[in-house]
Amino acid sequence: MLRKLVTLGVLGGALASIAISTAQAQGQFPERPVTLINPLPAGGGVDIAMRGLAKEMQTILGQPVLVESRAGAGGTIAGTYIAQAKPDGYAVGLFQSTQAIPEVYAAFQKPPYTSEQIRPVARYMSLIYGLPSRAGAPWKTMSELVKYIKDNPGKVKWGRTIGVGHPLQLLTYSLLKKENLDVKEVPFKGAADAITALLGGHIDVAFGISVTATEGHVSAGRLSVLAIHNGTRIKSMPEIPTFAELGLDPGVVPIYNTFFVPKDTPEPVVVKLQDAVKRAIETPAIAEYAQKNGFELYYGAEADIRDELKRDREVTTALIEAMQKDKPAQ
Amino acid sequence: MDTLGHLLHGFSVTLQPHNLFYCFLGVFGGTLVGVLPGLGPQSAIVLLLPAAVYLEPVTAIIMLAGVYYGSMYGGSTTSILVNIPGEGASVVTCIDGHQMALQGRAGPALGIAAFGSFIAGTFGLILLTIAGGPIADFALRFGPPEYFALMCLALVILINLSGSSLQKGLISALAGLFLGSIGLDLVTGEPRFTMGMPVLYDGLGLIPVIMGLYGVAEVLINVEQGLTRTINHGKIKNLFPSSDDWRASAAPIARGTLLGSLLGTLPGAGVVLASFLSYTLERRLSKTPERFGHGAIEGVAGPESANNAAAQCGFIPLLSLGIPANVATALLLGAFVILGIQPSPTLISTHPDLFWGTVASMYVGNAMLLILNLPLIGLWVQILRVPYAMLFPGVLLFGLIGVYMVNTNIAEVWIMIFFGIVGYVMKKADYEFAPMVLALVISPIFENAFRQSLILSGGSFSIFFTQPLACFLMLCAAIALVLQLVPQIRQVTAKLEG
Repeated sequence: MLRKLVTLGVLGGALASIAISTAQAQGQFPERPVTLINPLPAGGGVDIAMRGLAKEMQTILGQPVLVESRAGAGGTIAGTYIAQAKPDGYAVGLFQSTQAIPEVYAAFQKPPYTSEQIRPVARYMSLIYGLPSRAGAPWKTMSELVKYIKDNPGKVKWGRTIGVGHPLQLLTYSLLKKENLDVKEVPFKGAADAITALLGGHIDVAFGISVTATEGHVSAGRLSVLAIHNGTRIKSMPEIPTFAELGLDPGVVPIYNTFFVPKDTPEPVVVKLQDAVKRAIETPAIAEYAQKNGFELYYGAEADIRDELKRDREVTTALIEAMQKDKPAQ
Repeated sequence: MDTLGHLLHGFSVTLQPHNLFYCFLGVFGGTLVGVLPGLGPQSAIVLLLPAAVYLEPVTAIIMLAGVYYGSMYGGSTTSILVNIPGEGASVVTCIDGHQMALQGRAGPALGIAAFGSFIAGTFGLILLTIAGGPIADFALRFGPPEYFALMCLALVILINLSGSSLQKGLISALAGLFLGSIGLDLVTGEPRFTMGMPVLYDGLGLIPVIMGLYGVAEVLINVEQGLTRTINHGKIKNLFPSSDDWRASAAPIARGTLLGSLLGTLPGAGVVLASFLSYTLERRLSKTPERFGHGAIEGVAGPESANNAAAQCGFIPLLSLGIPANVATALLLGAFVILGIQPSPTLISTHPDLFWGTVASMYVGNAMLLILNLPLIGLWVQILRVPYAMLFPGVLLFGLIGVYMVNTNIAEVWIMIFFGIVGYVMKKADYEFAPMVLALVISPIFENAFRQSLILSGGSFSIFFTQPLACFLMLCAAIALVLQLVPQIRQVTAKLEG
């Protein structure tokens, strides 16, 4: 008898909890923690930027906001994860520029998801990348480097930190081509490897390293940053000029980070997320955090992002096509 | 004196109760993830990161560093007990460690691993304390040609790992080299052998492959053999190494420590290579090499010391220069930045409390690990009495969780299962796993360094001989190759003559 009662009680409890959870599903978003998906390994510049935003979003949304890394394949793993995620707004992916338009890489591999499967929430920021140079090089400034390259074609060892087709590589390609610079492009697996090679003097300069990652080495006098790729000079390194200031024009190459959710996420949930990201970006705390950690807040609403994606698709496709044509026969 | 003064100051930071507590928490957690197969320091550090930001920077770093070097202590436990290495560094420990366990000598094997780890870890730490800067600067001299030459040397030594049959060893190694070439081409970005699967773009993960080959395959074999047996029915002989064991292990520990310290400071090459090289070195130097593979304690003492020295020395480039030596130290570097500190050569002068506090905490942490691990040996040994049918599903479960957690990607679990089947077939056909695992580690470094070198030299092979350090390593590789081949050639000619 007692056993029956217990069974009934357990059953009743289970039913009640189901009822409660259904009621919750119809309530206000968010009712449980929201996860921001980082496409890169934990501990890197993007991770750090995301953690800062997550902290502010948590206050705004009233629920914990977590950062989870799903690294691999240059962001493709995370992209696929978001494209196939349950469209409920609890998994929000950060996409690095062209990751949102994987179709542009059709020349390399069949994209495992399409831009049709995702919907933009808000653009967040861009990391600031510089061109660090090894210490003791025969050039002191960017202009001297350019002159040196022109006088000694094919001599300067130019490190690359990321795979072919990534916007950072396209930017290097575009810059070198427009300025007609002939260097040895040495590929590395990631910024850390390139920094190590720079410190050891095995390469001369490297592009694709965020200024934060080089700051300590610059203050120790082991590296110098010749120029940065950004709209304006930055407060932490006011003496470093931008590429544009020096008349160096890599053209429009998309380098920024935007949040996306699965396409079928309900409208009110998307609106709520868009609002939360916008308000978080507007807080003074995040502005200070961004400055300290070497990234530029670069907010964009959904409509802006859509325009930008259209432009980036054309630019990137053209760059990749040009690059494929340039490639020496192998 | 100056260093000593700083270090004493560091101890005053470390010995504050809350720092001691978090140090203990770190090394304890590290031991735990080290013991659990598949779970590694990476997963643990990622899990702890969000909590760590609420601590003082020095406390947080003490804890996270403890997780890393603590995991190296625990890593050998499952290798010895159940023949399943938790990570790359303890793969070679399986060979003789597990044989010792089968002979009822799991206690001495675990004991010598713990003592060896303590001695090696402390030695690495002393190097960090007195000569971190110069050593890190020396490591920077390793550019692409030097790495290529070093990998050539490693490849030659790899031949030694083949067990009874040289042919089968070579086949296993070649398969490993091939598997290492899977992924996006570094220079052109072309996908190679990825079959359109994004999980393969970055190459095969080491942990899923190891867990598949050793863990899943081991379970499959045992299912076939019947589940009623336990690993050891016999009497478990003494728990601690005897004086004979110590005599046999002293020199291997010393050599392993030196080798590990040397390789550990090199970004990228590190911990796995150190343990493999130490093993082959000990077998070559041994007067009775035939004992290796059948429970030689030198085959545990050497590699375990080497991987701990290497792990500890991974902190040298991290703390002295701000460059990571492997995935786990890269995460620690990220942790520094998240805590608002930029590791670089100036760390020691800008954040002396943090630098010396962390260094001092590692001395304390290493001692804690020894004290923590010795009593645990009695407990671990009892695991051998647990029936297979109960033990292995548990081991497999943790393996699955660990592999999934590395990148939270289910595809990695499929890779593990796939390599379980591969491992089963290899075991049936009597192929060794060790050459394949080491070749898989070497292959991408070997290839990338080779191509980077040739880009730097404009296609000329002279780059490997004009740089003194690269040339020296190439000569070592050539000498090692000749030493390997001479007995083989003698054998063949003797056969022909006979």
